[in-house]
Amino acid sequence: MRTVKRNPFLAGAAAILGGLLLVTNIASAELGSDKSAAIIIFPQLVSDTRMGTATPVDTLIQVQNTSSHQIAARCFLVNANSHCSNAGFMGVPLVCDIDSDCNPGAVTGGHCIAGWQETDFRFQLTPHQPISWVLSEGMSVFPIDGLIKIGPVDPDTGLPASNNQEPFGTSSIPPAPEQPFRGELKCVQVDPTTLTPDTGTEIPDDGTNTVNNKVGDLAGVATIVEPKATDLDARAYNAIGLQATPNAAGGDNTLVLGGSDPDAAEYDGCPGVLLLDHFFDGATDPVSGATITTKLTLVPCSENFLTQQTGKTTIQYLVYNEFEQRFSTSNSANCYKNSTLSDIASRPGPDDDATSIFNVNVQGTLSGQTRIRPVDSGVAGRGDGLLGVAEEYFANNGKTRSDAFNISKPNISGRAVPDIIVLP
Amino acid sequence: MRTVKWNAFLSGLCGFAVVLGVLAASARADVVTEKTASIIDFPKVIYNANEDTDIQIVSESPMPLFAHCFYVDARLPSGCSKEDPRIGCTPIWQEIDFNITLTHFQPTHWRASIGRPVDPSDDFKFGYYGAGIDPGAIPPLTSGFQGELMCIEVEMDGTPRDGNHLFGVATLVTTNDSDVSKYNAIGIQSTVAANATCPDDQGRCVLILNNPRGESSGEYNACPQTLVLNHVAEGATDPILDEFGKAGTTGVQNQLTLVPCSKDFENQIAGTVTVQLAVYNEYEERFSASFTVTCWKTIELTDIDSPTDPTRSIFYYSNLGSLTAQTRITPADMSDGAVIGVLETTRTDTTSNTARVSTNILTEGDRIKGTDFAGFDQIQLPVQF
Repeated sequence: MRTVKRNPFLAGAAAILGGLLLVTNIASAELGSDKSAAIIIFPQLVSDTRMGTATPVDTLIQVQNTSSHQIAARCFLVNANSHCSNAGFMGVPLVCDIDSDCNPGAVTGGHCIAGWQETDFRFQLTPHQPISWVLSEGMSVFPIDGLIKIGPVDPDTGLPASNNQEPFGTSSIPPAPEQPFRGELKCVQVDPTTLTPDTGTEIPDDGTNTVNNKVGDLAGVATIVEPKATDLDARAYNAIGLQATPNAAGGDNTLVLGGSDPDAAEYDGCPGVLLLDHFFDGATDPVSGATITTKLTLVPCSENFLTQQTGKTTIQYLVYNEFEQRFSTSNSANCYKNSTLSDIASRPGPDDDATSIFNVNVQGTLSGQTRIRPVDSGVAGRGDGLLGVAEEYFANNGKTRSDAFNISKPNISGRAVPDIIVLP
Repeated sequence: MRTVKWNAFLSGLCGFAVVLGVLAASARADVVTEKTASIIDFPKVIYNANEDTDIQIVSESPMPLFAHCFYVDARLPSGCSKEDPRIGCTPIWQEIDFNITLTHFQPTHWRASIGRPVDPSDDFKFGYYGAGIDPGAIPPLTSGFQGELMCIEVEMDGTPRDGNHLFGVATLVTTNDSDVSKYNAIGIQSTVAANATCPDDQGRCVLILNNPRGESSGEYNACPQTLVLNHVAEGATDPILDEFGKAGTTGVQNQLTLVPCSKDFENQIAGTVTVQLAVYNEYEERFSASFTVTCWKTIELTDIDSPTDPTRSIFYYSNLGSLTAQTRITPADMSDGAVIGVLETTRTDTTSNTARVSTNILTEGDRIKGTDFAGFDQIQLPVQF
């Protein structure tokens, strides 16, 4: 009979080791909208410039290079419009939000089919250069075009002998492909010396700014402006940034975001939980008397621009009110999700809003905290991380004013399963 | 003589506990606007006849959370129409502090003009202002208030702790037309060293913002070395308003609010930082300017270098030469601490309707002094008595 002697030292070590394994050794996701980054995401872009539209709106997109060197970026504009299956029939519109939009009047049988179509483009930015363009117009001629307007010589010895005075003919930004438009924009920093569209050797770059520890040099702001008939409204948010890790240098077109293996992560990962600090729908602003509604936009971290695929992610929500009372619900997101908070837990549309757990009529307090957790689907080659922004609407005396703000994340570890972005 | 026996089991525990501590404290050090933190700062809190501020704070802690908050009143003295240090017209820097207690994951909110009294009866006013567990007696502000709010996570006895559980947002509301703009509070995260901050060997309570990027050797994360604004030129025609034929003659206006990171609440000494601005337009052309921030400063960009004639400012679109610009703000003096802040942009249409947006400012680097990480910035709390 074998006698097993207990080793107290190893017993203590084992006790802690068990606890250590429970603590995920996932690098804390460092995404944020207040730092420059190698990937920037604008989750909510809208435009409606149709003649006579009742909802005129457009988005001013500002992007800047925060470094003292030239950089380049590849961007992917995703058209998330849904379209009527019976568009054009008896006045049925092309773009829709819900099925009833496709069945006006006596029309029946129409369905609002979700869409996801990306358009990509690229540009170069000189040191500290900011640019801006209107979503509906794009920008075909850049301020420094290398032909008529040439910038100062870049002293970076790693650049070609021409010091980046080559024509910037490859820099061009297309307008939104459809009106109205809603969708997102992702820009990935790439190596400016290998910018060759035909061979596709635009290798994602980890940035050049040593002050930022080479984590990326892109930053952006989106401002949504609504010039209404008798009023004006505007809201703005910072682009969400994913910083690069040292593994991103010289990478390929498959971008690995986070995950439990720090040696494989090329960029910071998307958060495991999103934290939304908000007013409940229907809350009344105590001074102005405005009624407050919040819209949440979520976009997936994982996107395959090569095969034009995303995936469906289940989302769990925990809602806390000021009484410390807790509610929960869930729904799913596929490619792009934009809805009022009340519609998360009820049928789309205002009819059921008063009984939603996101409504002040149910919660009883004006403000709440909602924790948003994407559930891992287990699909190979794809993570289920989400990013988003929130828009708040204050309606009073027939006028609506809005603001936008970035969603936060708790100070906990990121997702164990990495998110993957595949570039064409 | 006391004999200390070596305990093998505990030694094993300790060995791995050290490893665990290293793993837990490896977060990158920066000020943050989208993560929970131990200190949250709202640089712009306004209450006057035209404007008010909603404050929302959440706890990310599963346990009760305590916070010590400070309103800093930065109004000018009576008789001063504008800031001018030569004649004593500098912000009064009057602080009022109060405590709040949040239950697990509790959100709370209050309006600056009203505050939030402890009123158990309002729990029965379903859906009304004040319903919910009152976080504490939050004082109302006097009309005319302009300044900042800072909340610091503490233990029940008031000593700072390294919880990193606070997050906040502020909504600036124009009371006549409900125009709103929102920004996230700026968060300063802490390390475990923050637990031993108070009292120090001199009986003071000083929070040192000296934790460098990527390390955990300091107490609280350092404030940024540089702020980076991405903004539309002053007076420029907004291209979207122009697109719809609604561009007014006023053009876009930017209001920058900055506060020093360093604060001395014990001795009531406001921080002063001279900042240098480098402005780059879309053609990579560079301009520069500078100004001084004492206690709190909110300023139109054109007033920085040309307060008497905005059209002559480097920030004005006709001088800047492009629609947008990148402005980099850095403390000018090697001995100065850092600044943090927010940017508010206003658009005006042809019928004088206005719309404001607030955005958090991009940050770069850490403002650390010396190889011993003696922080540039310190926050001295009032001694408990």
